[in-house]
Amino acid sequence: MRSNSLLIPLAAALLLVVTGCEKVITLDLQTSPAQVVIEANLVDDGYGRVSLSRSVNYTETNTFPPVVGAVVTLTDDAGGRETLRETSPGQYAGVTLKGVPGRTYTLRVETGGTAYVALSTLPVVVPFENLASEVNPFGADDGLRAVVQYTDPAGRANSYLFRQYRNGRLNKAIFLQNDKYTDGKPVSEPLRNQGGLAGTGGGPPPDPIDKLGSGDTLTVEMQNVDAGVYEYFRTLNQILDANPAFSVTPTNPKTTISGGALGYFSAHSSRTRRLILP
Amino acid sequence: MKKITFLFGIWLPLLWLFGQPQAVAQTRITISGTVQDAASGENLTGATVRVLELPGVGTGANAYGFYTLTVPAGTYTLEASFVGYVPQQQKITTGRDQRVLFDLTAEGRELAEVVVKARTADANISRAQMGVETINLRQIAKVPVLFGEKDVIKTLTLLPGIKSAGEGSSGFSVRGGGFDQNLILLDEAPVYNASHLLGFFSTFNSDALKDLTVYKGGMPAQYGGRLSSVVDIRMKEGNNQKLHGSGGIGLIASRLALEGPIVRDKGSFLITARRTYADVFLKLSSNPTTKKARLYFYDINAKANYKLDARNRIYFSGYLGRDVLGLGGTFGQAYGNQTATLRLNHLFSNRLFSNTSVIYSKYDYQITLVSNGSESGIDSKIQDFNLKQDFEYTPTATQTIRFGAQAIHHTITPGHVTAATDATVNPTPDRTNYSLETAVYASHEWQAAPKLNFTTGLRLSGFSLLGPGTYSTYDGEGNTVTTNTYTEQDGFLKTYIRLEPRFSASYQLSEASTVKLGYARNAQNLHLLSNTNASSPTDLYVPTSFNVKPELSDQISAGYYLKLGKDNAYSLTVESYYKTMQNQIDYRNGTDLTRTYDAEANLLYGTGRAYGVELLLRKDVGRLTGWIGYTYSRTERQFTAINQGNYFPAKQDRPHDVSVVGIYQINPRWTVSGTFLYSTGNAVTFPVGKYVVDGQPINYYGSRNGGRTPAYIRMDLGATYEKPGQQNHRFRSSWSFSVYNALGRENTYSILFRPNKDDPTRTEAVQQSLFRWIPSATYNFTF
Repeated sequence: MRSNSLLIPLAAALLLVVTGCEKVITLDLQTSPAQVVIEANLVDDGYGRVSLSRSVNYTETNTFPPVVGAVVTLTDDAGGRETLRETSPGQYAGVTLKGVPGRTYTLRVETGGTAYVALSTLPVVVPFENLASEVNPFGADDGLRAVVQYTDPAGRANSYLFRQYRNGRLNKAIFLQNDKYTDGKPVSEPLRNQGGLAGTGGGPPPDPIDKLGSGDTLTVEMQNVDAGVYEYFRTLNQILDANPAFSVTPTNPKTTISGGALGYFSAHSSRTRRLILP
Repeated sequence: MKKITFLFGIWLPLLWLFGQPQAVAQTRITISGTVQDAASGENLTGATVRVLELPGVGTGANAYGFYTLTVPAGTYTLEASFVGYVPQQQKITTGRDQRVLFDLTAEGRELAEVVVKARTADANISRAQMGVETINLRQIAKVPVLFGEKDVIKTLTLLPGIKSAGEGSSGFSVRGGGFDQNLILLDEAPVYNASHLLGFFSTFNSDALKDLTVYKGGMPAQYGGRLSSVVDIRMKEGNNQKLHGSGGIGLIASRLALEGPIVRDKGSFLITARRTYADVFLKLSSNPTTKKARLYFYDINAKANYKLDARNRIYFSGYLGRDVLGLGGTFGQAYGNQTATLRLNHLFSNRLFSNTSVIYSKYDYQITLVSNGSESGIDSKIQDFNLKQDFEYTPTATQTIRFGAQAIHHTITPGHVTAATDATVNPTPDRTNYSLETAVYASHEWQAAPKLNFTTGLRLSGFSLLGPGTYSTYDGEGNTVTTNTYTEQDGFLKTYIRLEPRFSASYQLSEASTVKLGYARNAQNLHLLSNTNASSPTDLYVPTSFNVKPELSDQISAGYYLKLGKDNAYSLTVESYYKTMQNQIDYRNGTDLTRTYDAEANLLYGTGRAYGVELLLRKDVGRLTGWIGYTYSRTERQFTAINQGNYFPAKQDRPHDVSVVGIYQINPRWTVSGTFLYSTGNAVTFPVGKYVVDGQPINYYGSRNGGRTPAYIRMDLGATYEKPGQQNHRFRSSWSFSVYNALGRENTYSILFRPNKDDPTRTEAVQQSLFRWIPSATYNFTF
């Protein structure tokens, strides 16, 4: 239920698109010391993957320096422990500690004399029952969209994250769902591209290259994520939202990492389904 | 409960006292009556009545056109005057109380032939009231506006100290206050959402309105409930002489109004209606879904009044507005305001005027969603029942005492999901809350010496959260600690009492200049939660509760007022203020208000401060009328959890603000007008760096509101053409033309940061703007 998404397409399309215009401007932006950025994932039945980099000033190019020589350890609540090996500059990988649903994992990254710690629980896996497609209700012009089907387990809070691929190419949008309004229900929900004029849930504006059409191979990965990870990506989507009318005061996403680093640590499941679009 | 009974109880003896026949000294008599428009019988609120033989003795007509003056017995010339009308004089010789009625004639079209004196400036010179501006709808009728829809709220933001929330928004900030801190009253009924179509239009149809008074500070004690301002909008009474109609056909909307006598000279009615037809254009779309879309609003204003006898007059006013947005049969959204006011004016004596109002006010929205054949939706409403009693007592020529009481019962239902059992979603709890807002007030306006005036007021306001309801307490992180459910039997769950002193003093330096000083405290118990740029119909009101404390503001102000030029055609106002605000509300970072039924968990509480200087040079008479305003102001907030607890600029902190409004009558046929605006850009949060997540560059944000958008500059032009030789015809027509943003400047609506198209490794700032060179033409007629 996204209340605002109901009125945007109409009002915004009428008033913003018809009369709006864009111009590149030069702003005098402040600078900031480089921040440590952690992207850490642990998939069920897989091993830890951690990427460490640093932020740059706004006017610089998108070359993000890797953090080399960090001590990255992963522990679980069942006594398991592994120090991840740096496979290439800034990329750290595990080979022994596996993701198991129901366990809570602690990530510890030590670099430059500072330690950053994050916890994540790998949720119990909810089966990805079916993948379907439907015509985007905003007209055939906008193509098709994926519909994911699963049965939400009743009585506990569940959060879901979906990634969508068109002919093997990853769509940048991160699709989120939770059971706030659907606890215990069979769910059949489209993956709404929420950026741009189509919604207010946030996310980057839709890219034409991701538009689904008949004959395309659609692949969707369903992840069960914990509430902290859901919050991280929800607040990340907020700042990626390009809709001016419904944008909120931007702030850095709510991270579960302590110590002042940016980024996230997500222990999650991964189930994938594929569909040739009719 | 006891406290409340007590509050009302203390006033009963006073009522009795004032209601008694007065022991009037033989030598002093009271002259009272009304000032009306001769042609329509409309009350002329704010008209001045002076005794020419007694310099400095005069008064203003109240909101119902009623005035009262006490003078020694003798022979006098009374003069009633009002901006835009020919002053009228009446000679009286009297030894006893007398009623004198004035019927003023609107100034002719040939302005040069009639010398009309500015009178608005007089009130500024002779009264202690500060921070007040009045907009007469006749004056602003020719100011150019977006899409040609005359809009009092948009015009209001052209005055110093009042800033628009942004382009295409009906929200405004007064002296650095929040957008929800303005009490907007339509015939005394609070209007909760003053915008149509996401804010592009205000809910006020100009055809139905008579005037608007805004108090930016030093609100009179009879007003309360919001921190920053009172916008008191009065509807026309309707012509009590002849049946008239008027209307307009514009690009976006059409309007029709009908007014006339119920019984000539005794009662009249007015009914106006307006509807937009933007959805007609959607039908032209090639997209089949867009074709099925619904997108329109309408509103209806109605008013009737009847003079029961010389001492009693009854008024009814109502408003109904609705916005409808929808897409085929799959979803729809409707929202709107409804208000109704029933008022009784009663003259206990020539010196004691009473008004009793019973007011109903409602704002609601519904969203319906049909999915897989089952229906679900979101429902929300805010509903008020309001009882108000005001007295105006004039014991002597130099004193006016106002006192009264008010009680408002609020029912607020925050948006909650409704769903059938077979629906794909579950319903969410209905957290309806009930509260009672009460107030008693008294104020004393006193001319202590010929040049020295004081207005002293005191308002005692109470707010009680009532059962039933469910309320939680939270820890510092916003996690629920305890949740309590109360029943109706629990009665008053929590009561806050606040004392709001108001004081102002003026000293007249010369015939044409005055200095003033004022202080006012205001309390606010209903708080609007909105964290987006556009005003959204789903914005949420929360009452003061166990967690949310009453907002408080203290404002001191000082002013200098000067009349200038031949016939005092110009008036200059310089006011400065310093304001502090307590218990201000903000949100935890990343709060999603659209999906939150437990909103209080996400709130942060802090303080605010604002200060500024406002200059206004105004010309209300002659062929050229208008004003030039300049404001320097700052407004800042402080929250422990934001910017390490340092003060940061509020979004509407725009230090420099210039507005120019000019209306020039070239000849009886053509009138041209223009407005010009300049203001510093909004304080916004800009990135200070970037980093990578999932292969996407992400902005790294620095301090809250640490950046600034480019300055806002806009000029609008308008022209009105009236066909000559229509003066004696029943049917008259005119054309209005306007161009919004005639300079075509691309003003910042928002700024987004995205990869450069040619070099995706670099990021660029892209400014989005809305309106440039928007022309409009409207055909207006009266009959």
